[in-house]
Amino acid sequence: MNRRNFVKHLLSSTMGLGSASAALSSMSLVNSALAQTSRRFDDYKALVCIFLHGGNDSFNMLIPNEANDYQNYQKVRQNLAIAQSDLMPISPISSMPYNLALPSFMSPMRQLFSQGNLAFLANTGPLLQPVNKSQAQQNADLLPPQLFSHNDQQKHWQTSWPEQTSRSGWAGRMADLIMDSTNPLSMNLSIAGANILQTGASSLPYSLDASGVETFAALDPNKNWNKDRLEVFTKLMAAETHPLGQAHNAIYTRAQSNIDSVANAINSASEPVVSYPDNHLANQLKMVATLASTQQLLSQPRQIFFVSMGGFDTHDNQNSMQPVLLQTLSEALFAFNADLQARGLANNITSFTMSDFGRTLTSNGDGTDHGWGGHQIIMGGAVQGGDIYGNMPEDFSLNSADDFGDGRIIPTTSVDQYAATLAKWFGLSTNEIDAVFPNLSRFNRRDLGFMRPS
Amino acid sequence: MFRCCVVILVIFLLASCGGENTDEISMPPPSVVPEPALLPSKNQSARFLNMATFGATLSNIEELSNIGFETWLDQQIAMPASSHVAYLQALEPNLNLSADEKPDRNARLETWFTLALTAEDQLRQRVAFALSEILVVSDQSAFGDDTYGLANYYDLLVNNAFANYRELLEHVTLSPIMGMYLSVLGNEKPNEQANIRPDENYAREVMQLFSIGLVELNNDGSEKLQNGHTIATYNQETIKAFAHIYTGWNFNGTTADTWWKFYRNYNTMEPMIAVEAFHDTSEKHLLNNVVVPANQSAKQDLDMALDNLFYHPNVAPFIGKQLIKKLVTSNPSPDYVARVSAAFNDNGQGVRGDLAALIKAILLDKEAINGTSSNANFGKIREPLLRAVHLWRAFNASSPNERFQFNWPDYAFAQAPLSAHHVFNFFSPDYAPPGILSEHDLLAPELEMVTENYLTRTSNFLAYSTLWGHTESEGENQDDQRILIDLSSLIPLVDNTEQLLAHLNMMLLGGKMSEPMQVILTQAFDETAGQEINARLSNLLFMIMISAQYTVQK
Repeated sequence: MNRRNFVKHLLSSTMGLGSASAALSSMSLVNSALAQTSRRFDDYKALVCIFLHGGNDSFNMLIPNEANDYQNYQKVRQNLAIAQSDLMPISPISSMPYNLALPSFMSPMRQLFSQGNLAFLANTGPLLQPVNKSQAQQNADLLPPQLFSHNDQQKHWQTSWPEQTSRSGWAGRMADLIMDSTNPLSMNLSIAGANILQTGASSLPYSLDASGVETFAALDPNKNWNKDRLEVFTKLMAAETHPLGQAHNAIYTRAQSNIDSVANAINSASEPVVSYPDNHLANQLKMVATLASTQQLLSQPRQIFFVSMGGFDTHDNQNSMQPVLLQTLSEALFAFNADLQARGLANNITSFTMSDFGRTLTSNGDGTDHGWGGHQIIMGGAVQGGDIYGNMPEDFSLNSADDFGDGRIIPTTSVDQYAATLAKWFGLSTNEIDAVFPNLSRFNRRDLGFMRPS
Repeated sequence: MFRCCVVILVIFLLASCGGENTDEISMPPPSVVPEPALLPSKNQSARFLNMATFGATLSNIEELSNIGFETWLDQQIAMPASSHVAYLQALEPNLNLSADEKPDRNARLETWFTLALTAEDQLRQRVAFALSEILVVSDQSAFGDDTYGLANYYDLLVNNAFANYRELLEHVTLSPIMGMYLSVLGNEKPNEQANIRPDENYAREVMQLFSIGLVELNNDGSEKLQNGHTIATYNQETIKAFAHIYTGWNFNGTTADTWWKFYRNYNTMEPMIAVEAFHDTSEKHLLNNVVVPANQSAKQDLDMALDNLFYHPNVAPFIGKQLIKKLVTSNPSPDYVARVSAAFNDNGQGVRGDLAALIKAILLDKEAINGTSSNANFGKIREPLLRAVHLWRAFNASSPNERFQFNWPDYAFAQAPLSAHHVFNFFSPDYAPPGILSEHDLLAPELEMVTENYLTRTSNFLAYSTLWGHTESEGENQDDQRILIDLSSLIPLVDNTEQLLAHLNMMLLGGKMSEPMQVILTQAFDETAGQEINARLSNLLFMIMISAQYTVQK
């Protein structure tokens, strides 16, 4: 399917549900979408998805702090509760049902929060539509498919469209609509391998890693002595008839058409003036900052980055693992923010976390199992930081109205709302947002308000 | 019964191959073989070995073409297992370890490469590798430095590669490495006062990934539908019930008094044992209305639970289809899956779960044998790691230091044995990149690993191995770890491009190189006449190894 057909298909299939006027507006949208070039945007913006693989136990990030509230928290979390002596209070702008604190191992994040560079989005997760406890218990059709399964919930976070029969993620669909089709380099750049988030119907992410981009040895077209080899290889590619072989060749072609420009951009970028901690996430974010700082050279007024961190599936040893995980995340975010500030890019780049699910409030002995809703982190100069958005659960006790069982908390904000808020800041029009997030209209707020109006 | 299969299969082959393939079936003279029996050609043998082993060698091709597929399979299945633990133990004196050092990951990788390259029980080792990508444990975890424990888990897969799936599932469930990886080890009965309930990790993943999958399947691997919707195989209540089953297991030697002493009890060389005081004895409701009565022992509960999974009708298509994808083709026809499921459900003697019968059904199926001649989309992307191993086997690799040390497969290939980032393996069996494949509704699971960056690294690895890594280049050196290929088998063919290409075609593509590719390579090779022989040969080899035609095993 070429891009024109895809855009028509996407828009007609998602908007065909609406009225005739919607169909009309979808036609004009097709035309405007196809006219996109880098000239559409005269500013620079980037989104950075930090995927926390395994399901972050984020109910141990934002912790009720007053005596009674802490006791309720401790009563349900038992041996997994963070000690009250380890808590550092925060003062969100909005009023919360109870006072909150972050654990001391997140103190770099607390600093970003108090400086207004970071916000939390409370109790967010995959939803087909708003659902309360009795609805969820009585009608399994209202639950996201394969609720509590890692890969299915990751997919829901990344596609925001569980009913689709094709395989595209929301960042990929955004690129389908606004990418600059004359630029061989995708606006979706992955530093963490293949992912469905950045996979569109017609656009694909370009993948490199934290150390940069690998250059070809014996297939390097810049070396004269490879000329004959490349000639033969080009003929062999053209002669390939098997679809799997053609798909493999397509990856080669993408690599070959982008290596030079990306490698040059990386080489021309200035070294960060701040020091990053030495961990895998920080290394990935350092590469993001490098690529962001060279966006002009890459002719990319819009970029979406994917980085990831593993280890959050804390079924075991949570008390020893979680402080390390969240400290690593906090320190990496802190360094990244400082780097972007030093490069003058802090207002242009918004970083946000996603994670499979929250985890059970109850313990399985030394860890937690797969839950549902959880809190997410949003960071950047364009974020209305120092606040908590969405709704904190009113009540931490087991079998509360928010508890789907064993402390699996029913989300009160959907992935769709979260992502659509980011998409709006990124510069997508209302129609484009509806096309990318076909389920958004089922929720009553399409902008959660955590981004500054631009 | 299998003789009958072979005859049918051969008839099918004869019927299906047009004029161009008439030389593919070589019939031995009646005087040698009493009954008329058709034996595979060398190309067919090589092609078969490239699915069933880590790569065809000249001697294997010779052997197989003399005895036929089924006899070869039977011999391989009967062959004793090469143990990774035993190899590691034998290797240990060469590692120059100090008294408090243990063999590290590199020693485990060396063991794996050595056995992949040299073990006689190739079918078993290859199937074990496929199983290691289904029944996943990984050194990317807290026990990642337990080299012997991981090798012992791998041996479990090697030893049970042709056993019954029910036995394999039990060994896997009771493996202390799996116990740590998916949290059965130390899982305890509920403690309501402390809000503690059994760990659901293994309960979920053993169903989702190791036995029945998420939705009900037909025997042909297709999803069953009810009112247009798939039917979930289990729900959260099922997971909770199984989580209660898998309580009370810990390291061999653990007692009720020492249950909490992890390091004191640590033992990854023997199966876990039950400590009844920590086992939940309540009644449990499993799949298909099976009720596990109260007050049973941990082992009685486990037996019922594993039976409950094992007898679920999904296991045959769920596991069978995955093994087809790992060994033969990414897009098997429903009929192929159904035939393989039937062999899992009944090996011909009324036995369910016979892995030897399953593997034979996968490799002897007419779809596997006919390949692209009956389905143009037949085939699979070769795993990048296995491309290296294949090259080394095909060209008699050796190292100046007489070992097979290769410490950075992850860097070059995005994969290493027992080293996935999570239990979902390096790649999903259902992955398809958008574009030509999704348009044709085709899967290419292995491509999930092949990003632009890793494709470049794998190409570069192959460049180093073929262009610069052959035996002519350097002298002997005990410190030289390079793994070098041997091009001497090609040198006598250098003046006959047709024979040379036919040989490479057989070794690497099982005779499936297309006519246009042969023309392109012939022309390119002939144009280099007069240049240095090794440079010409290694360049030709490189072009084949990076070609899409080679990359798709078919």
